[in-house]
Parts: sequence; structure tokens; C-alpha cells
Amino acid sequence: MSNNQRPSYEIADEKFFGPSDKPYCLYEVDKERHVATITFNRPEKLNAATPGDLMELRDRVIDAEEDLNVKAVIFKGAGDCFSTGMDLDYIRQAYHDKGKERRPSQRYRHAREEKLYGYWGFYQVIGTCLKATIAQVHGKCYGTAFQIACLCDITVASEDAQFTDPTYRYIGASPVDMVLLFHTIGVKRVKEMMLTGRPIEAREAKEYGLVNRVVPLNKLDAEVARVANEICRQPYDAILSGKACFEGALDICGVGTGITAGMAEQTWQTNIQFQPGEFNMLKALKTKGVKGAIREREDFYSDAPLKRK
Amino acid sequence: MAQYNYKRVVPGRPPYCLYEVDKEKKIARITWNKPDKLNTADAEENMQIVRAIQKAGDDPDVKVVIFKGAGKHFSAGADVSMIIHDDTLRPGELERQRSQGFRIVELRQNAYGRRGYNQTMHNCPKITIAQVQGYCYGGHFQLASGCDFIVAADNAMFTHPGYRYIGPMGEDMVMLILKIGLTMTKEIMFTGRGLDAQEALECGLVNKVVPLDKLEEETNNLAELVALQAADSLYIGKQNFNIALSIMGKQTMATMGTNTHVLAHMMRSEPDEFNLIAVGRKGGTKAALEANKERWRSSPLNVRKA
Repeated sequence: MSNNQRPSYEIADEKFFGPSDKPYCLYEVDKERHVATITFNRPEKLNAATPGDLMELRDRVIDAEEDLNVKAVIFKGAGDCFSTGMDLDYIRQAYHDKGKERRPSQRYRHAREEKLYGYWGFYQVIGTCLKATIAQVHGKCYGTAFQIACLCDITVASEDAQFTDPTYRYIGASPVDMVLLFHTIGVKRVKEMMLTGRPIEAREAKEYGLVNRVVPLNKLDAEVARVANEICRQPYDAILSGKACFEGALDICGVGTGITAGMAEQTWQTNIQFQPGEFNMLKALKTKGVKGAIREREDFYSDAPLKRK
Repeated sequence: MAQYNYKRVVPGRPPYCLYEVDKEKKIARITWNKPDKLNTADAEENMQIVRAIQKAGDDPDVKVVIFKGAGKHFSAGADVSMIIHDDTLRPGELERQRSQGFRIVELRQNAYGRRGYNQTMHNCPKITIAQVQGYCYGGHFQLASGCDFIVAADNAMFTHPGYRYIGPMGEDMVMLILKIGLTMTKEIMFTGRGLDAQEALECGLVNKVVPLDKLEEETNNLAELVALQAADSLYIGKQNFNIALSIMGKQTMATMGTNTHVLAHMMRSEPDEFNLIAVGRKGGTKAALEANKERWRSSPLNVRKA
């Protein structure tokens, strides 16, 4: 399915941005219903994604956007949850490259952000997709996955869904697209979520305006299918030109500017220094591996766990 | 089924962009490589431009990128036959004209939306210089004005004659207003007249005008001076400019302008007006260009000033 029409990324850390051994996305198109479904398919890793996986996701979204049979795209996760976000093993490798003696340059750090969040990154490709986008969320929805759920036109969650962007507990980086979050759930709630890192429950997320509706887990598929069918009986031109107008209006609200600024700010934040007594995710990853680091983090933040049943 | 023009790969066609890097001096050169057609580009070649700019953006050996045209001109802009085909039915392909949904995907992907060549140029993290001789029109006028610098030969001519063909382009309005002022932007757009190098210098479009035979040398000197700066400095600095331009509305106008660009494609020409699509469909691209030249004979684009 790879499309040689699309620009490739020949940046230095290709090992992060190149394709994984196994595809991250299952991609299906139901031509009768005009619906494409993208399933994050790494259940053994709670659908955590490497940058390469997110590049693959981007390509599938462009496939759906270009497909004249498709009017709506559904995003969902295989297994126990939607997704826990960025693969921590990537964070570990990105900041502790054994072959390199010097710290990464700022331009190199920004290039990583830009690949993911710039105009050709998964984030803006989903956010400005001309087809209707629906996030079907169950279980954990954290970090980059939380951003996808926020970006989609419609988010339907099961009762067990949990949302947050816990980056302050890792390396301190703020969401690149703060403006959209402000418009979606409000400034106070964004600040509380970021500053505490506390997960938001499905019902709370509905109240916040992050989620359109909450249904029991066993009704989730049917509810999403119902919403998709409702959308897809509307004219193709209306949906696509409507989405282009949403994009323009959101840019007037500052979304595009926010992302441009956010990428530079996140780059800056990657220079974080930890003080004694703080939980140092990077050090934990280096010395204890991904699982050990998660255990240590959960101990440190035991009163507001991210990993709970 | 309809196929997007930007996906129409022409087998055996030479690459539109030549890419070379001087690793020592940290300068890349991207050359529009279609001199027999005045370096005009069609939709698929627009995608090649996107990839070439990204290649330079990702290249760790590059601080500065020079864009130039092979032959006598920088570029005359979009391939007019492509514009005619954009709106023309092809046998066995479509029974009806292209839908709005089709057009917006097409335009956003290859030219003016976030993923188009225009925004890719604005967003290139390296310092960009357009080295312009001869014609610099239309889409390539947008590419050049989207560069950080323009060095022009004394024979350079600039304009965006969009209104003379299929109506206004809106994507770069904020950028152009910031760069050359509202008065001049409106004059260029509403008349479609060409600016010579001196006038382009006076209105702030161009950094420097040099004799044609010194163009290469002067552009290289500028590139080498910029490349003395630290790579991180240049990169972070370019982000600052991109953020500033975005706050001033460049990003927003690019999105809105892409939408109104599709609207422009829907324009209706009155019986006494020039109709690119109708003439082109009937008599071919050459006839359309001739008819266009005839209508604007009082303000020609194809005459080089001394």
C-alpha cells in the first residue's frame, strides 16, 4: 500500500521513523457504507506506537482521504484499550543513543517533532482530514492517542475509557496543539489535566466536551457504526467542503499557529533537567527498562495511577 | 474512476527537480529542470517539488537551499494544459465535471494546502534563496516569494497572473501583503501586470538585483554568508519567523485561500471575457495562450524589458 507519491523522510534517525516489522494499522474499507476503519493493532503493547507506526497511520489516513468511496474514517484499538500513546522504548532510545557522545542538537529535536506534528505529520493529517473522523475509545487513551481522540470530529467512548496526556510525568513536554484542547475542554481543565497528570474518566470526559457520548463497552461498536452511517448518507461534497471550512475556522481560532509554536516549545522542553527527589523517567528507562520505569512511576504517583484496573 | 492529477506519473519523463549538495559549504541547489517548457510544472511535478524541499529540509549537510531554473527563466508557473485538464473531462473517466470534494483533495495535496508545495516551501526549516532570471510567474512566483531571499537578475519579471487565467489565488495574500504591502499586492493581482526587477526591488519583493552574468556568483556569496551562522541558530530563528508569520495570519490565509482557490475554479466567464477552459478545450493550450496574450496585449507578460 506504500505510495511512492508521498514524500519520504530521510532524517538521521530513520530507525525511529522507518516502518516497523509488523504493520501498526489494520486498514479496511467498507465500500457499501463508505466507511474506512483503522485499527491500531499492537495489543501486546497496549497499542503504544513508535514514530514509524504513526507515519504508517498517517499514510492510511491519506489513503482514506484520497479514496472516493470513503466518507468517514473510524479509529479504534485492538485488544484491551484504544492506545497508551507513544512507545516508551522510543523515548528511551531517543534520549540515550549510545553511539552519540554529545546531546542532540535543537534542530534535530525539532525535526522529530516536525515529522510527527508538522504539516506532513500524523497529527495534522488526521486533524485536517477531509473525511469525517470518529474515535472509538475504550480503556486507556493516553498521550498521542489522547491527542487523536481530541482531534477527531466525533469521539464515542465506552464506560471504561480513561483519558489524559501524562507527559509531565515523563519529560515535561506540553501538548503541541494546546489551542484545540482549550477550545474542546477549556483552559482550566487543560491546565488541571496537564499539571496533575490525572486521568479523566469517560463520564467526566463527556461532561468536559471531549467525548460526544458514552456507551457500555458491549454497545460501542454498534454505536460507532450508527454514527458513521448517519454521517455517510450525507453528500460527499458537503462532508469534504464542510471539513475544509472547519479547518479554516479552526485556523482562525489559532490552531495552526498554536501547532507551529507548540512544536518549538516542545523542542525546548526536551531539554528538561530533573531535580533531586523528582521522578526521572529518562533515568528510570535507562537503568530499569520500560517495565521497570513504569513500575517506578506508578509507585511515585501511587495516589493518581495511570495503570489501573 | 477519476484519478488525481498529482498521481499521474509520466513514465520516462526527466525529473523536474535536480538536487545537488555542496557538503563543504552546506548549500543545496534545487534546479527546476524543464527548460523547454519554461520550467512550468504540472500537478505531479508539484509533488516532486514537495519532496525536493523536504529532502533539503532533512539533509543534515544543508544550511541553505538555492532554488533556480534551468535555461533562460526561473519559471512561468503552472502548466496551463494541466489547468485546462483539471476541469476537462477525459474520455472514459468521468461523466460529469469534477466534484468539489475531488477538487479540494487535489488542490490541497499538491499545491496549496498544508501538504502542498507552497506551504512546504514556507515551512522549510533551512534558509531558502530564490535565484531568479527571466520569468517568475504564478505558482513559481508564490514559491519565490515564499523563500527567505530573492536574488534577481536584471532581466527578471515577476507577477501572479492568476486572474487572467482561472481567477484569484488567495493562499499567499497575507504573506504578500506583509512582504510588499497592500497597495502593490492589489495592483499586481487586479491588473496581473508584470514587475521588472527594479520595481520588484523597490517594493521589497527582491533583496538584490544583479547583472544576469553575475547572478550565480552573487547568489552563492549570499548563501555562503548565511551558512557561516550556526545551524541551530538558523533553524531556531527560522521557526521564530514561521511562528511570527503564523500569528500574523499566514497559516490561516493559506487554509482559507485554498478553499477560495477551489471556488475560483468554479468561476463563470461572461461571453465577452477570456475563458481559458473553453478556448483550451476547443483549440488546445497554444490557442488558449494566444487568446490570453491577445486580450492583454496592452500589458504583455512575455516581453522582456531592457
